[in-house]
Amino acid sequence: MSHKGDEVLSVRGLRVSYAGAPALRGIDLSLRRGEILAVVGESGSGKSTLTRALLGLLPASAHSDGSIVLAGIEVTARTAPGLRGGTVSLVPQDPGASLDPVRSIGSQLRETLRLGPGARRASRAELGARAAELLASVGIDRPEERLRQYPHELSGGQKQRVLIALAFSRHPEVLVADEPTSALDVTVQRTVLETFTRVAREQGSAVVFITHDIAVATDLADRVLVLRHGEVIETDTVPRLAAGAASEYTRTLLAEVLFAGAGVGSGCKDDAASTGTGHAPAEPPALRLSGVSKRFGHGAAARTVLHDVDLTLPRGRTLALVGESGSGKSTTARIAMLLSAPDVGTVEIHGRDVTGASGALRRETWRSLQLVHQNPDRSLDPRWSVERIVAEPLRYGAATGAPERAAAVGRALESVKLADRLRHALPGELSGGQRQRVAIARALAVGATTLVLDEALSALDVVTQNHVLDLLAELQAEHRLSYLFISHDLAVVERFSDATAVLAGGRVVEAGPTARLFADPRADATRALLDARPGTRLRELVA
Amino acid sequence: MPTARYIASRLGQALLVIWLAYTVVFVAVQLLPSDPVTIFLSTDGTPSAATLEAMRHQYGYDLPLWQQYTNNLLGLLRGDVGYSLASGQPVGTRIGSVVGSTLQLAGGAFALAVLFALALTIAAVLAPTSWLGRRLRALPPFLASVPVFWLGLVALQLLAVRWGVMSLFPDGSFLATVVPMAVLALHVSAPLAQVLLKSLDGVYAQPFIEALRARGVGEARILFAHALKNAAPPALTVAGVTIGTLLAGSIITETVFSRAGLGALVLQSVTAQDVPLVQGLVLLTALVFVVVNLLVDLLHAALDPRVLRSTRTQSASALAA
Repeated sequence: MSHKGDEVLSVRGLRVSYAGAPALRGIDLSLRRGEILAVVGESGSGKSTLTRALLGLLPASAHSDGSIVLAGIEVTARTAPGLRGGTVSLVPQDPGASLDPVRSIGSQLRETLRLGPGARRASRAELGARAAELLASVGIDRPEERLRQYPHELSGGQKQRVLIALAFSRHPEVLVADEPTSALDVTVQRTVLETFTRVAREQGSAVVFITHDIAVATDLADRVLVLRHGEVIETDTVPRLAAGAASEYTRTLLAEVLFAGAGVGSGCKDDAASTGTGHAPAEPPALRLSGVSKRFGHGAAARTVLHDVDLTLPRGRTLALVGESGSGKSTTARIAMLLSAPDVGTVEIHGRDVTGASGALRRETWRSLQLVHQNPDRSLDPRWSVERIVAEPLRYGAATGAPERAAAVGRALESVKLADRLRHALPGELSGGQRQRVAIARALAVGATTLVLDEALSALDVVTQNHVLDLLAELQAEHRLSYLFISHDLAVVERFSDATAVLAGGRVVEAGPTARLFADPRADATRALLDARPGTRLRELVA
Repeated sequence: MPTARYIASRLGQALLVIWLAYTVVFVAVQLLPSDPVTIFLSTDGTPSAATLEAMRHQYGYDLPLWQQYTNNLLGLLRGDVGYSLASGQPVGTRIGSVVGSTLQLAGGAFALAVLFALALTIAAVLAPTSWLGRRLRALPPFLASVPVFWLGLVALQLLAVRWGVMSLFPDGSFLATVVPMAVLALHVSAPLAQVLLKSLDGVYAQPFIEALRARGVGEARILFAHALKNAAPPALTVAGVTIGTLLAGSIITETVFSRAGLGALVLQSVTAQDVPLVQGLVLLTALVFVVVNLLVDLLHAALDPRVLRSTRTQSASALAA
């Protein structure tokens, strides 16, 4: 099916291993001019190794064989530096850390442009004009002004657009995009991806789009290649995959997108229960925010971040909080956690008004209310053992001795299904999923019954996410836990939460049972969020 | 106007530190068992009460404390730091006559130290083999553990005594000027190189370095145009702190190489218990520290645009995010 003359990238029998541990076990792929190939895989599938190999940037510790031919040139240690930038380029994963923080946007664009043919002697003004044009082409407003700005002055979406401009600046034949939008929220992700595919089509660049999200992959790719444990599971066009994938694994991934009732949760997601009316009305909610407003800054610089927010989380239920970045989700979480006091309004935990609590009352409240952070890599002390991490909050609770604490740690680890032998491990020795389990165990060890889960799954890949979701659902059914679930991933929200509240511009624009809200969105902001969800094309193809 | 506000706030802080240093020195002198004149005169015999009284009056130690404090502070503003008890000359004159020599030694040593630390770091990062890189990386901890006086004595022994290419005493020749600087520089460069290497390693682990490589930017340009600029702030901070090492090292180096300078003056003033002169030397040290650290802060802001962002707006936007 591939025409030899059109082929710009050909990988044959690529094997890469690190200190004897194989990362890629014989990969074959080919790419035609202008084609978009999505490589889908979970963490550990060898995606990042493939990215580095294509750019000739494997670390010295890697052992590789097989061949990679780019536009007729074999990629070797000698040819790679000459190929990078002009023939093959990269849109990196983390826009926040992928631009030099101490150089202006203009200086970084001019530097890359200067590497192009015939640009060595171009004047600063000429290069600046070309840089401004590039920025305009990736949809950045006021490009001349942006050239003088520094990365910290741009938003995440703008930074990724700058990185796209940098990658396309020398018209590469092949562009490798490594999870370019996984750090961005849904609505931004969509507009950035649209820009990216438009520029790729305009320039006729072939694209290798590396992602963990098969929904994103099927939205924009011509062909999808599924990678697992360093092997190609299957590769096919999107319509044919939609019609029926050959492998079980691919079918599972596709089912996640199509929401074929993966069956996560306690199984009682009926409307009556989710609004809380099915339960004894006398029981106070686990968490209630009433008329909460919050402003930051003073005088002219003051900004109201939350306006009159009402939220109710009934005991034993899950309330999801969704919205674009900047909509006030994190501020709401901080107020619910008593880390920040509202200017107006009240916070009730288990029926007790704890608005503005501090000192002993706040510490006492934290025994029933705990936070699970977004990124377990950062919320766990890398030099502490699992046991010490989980036991730490116990030291500030009731006066218990070391044996009681050790027993409590054992129970907490058991409840999150972590083997007891891991209690002496350091966070760095655990997988991402295990680390997040440790964070959950730490919250449960003090006896918390209400958890604020702040994007708690977004650092995990799909398969690990499912395991942690299953665990959370089991714990909820067993101990009647209540979750305030903050997420930008609507697919997870739809499966996991009983009720959903949509934040936009600091207001709750819509709230209600999740099933109703997803089936019949009433507010514009809700519809915008739902429309921005990746996987539209796949759903249309299947429907 | 964040730049102007930043500079103004740093300048204000610098002045505050100098005033505090002056006050601490003044209080410390009051805590001495008796007054400076009695201490000074008692080093050679027992002086008569009349002599003591006359000298106390002459130097103003008989005034009420608050008046001494304000008089001295006003004097300081005019650049007058009082009179040396041993020589009767103004403290400013005593210090001024030798400070040039020490500044030359310390300044030269600092410049050499920075050059040496940079050269070592760049060589270690660009080393063609990992074997060479590892050896170069082991050098700074080794240098830090070599004492200045020992290195100075070895240099003198070899250059002046065994080979006779250098004079034992400062005679203005090239070697006699540069060797003391180099000895001091090797010692001072060790912490600079250590911190710069560590900081560079951190920068090289950041994703933007791989993004630069992926765009075809060469290794030399990545190091000089990107990595060094990012890695410089921690090394700059250490450079500010090494001023203390540099001054202490200067005193030792001056003694070893028989150079005139602050070293000899410090020694004299302390053994003669000449309190006003010691006071002046302490204030000078504080001034040097403050000026150098002011320069470090201003350079830091010039290197990294994020420094100028006021902490208030930063925390507000972080909370709102």
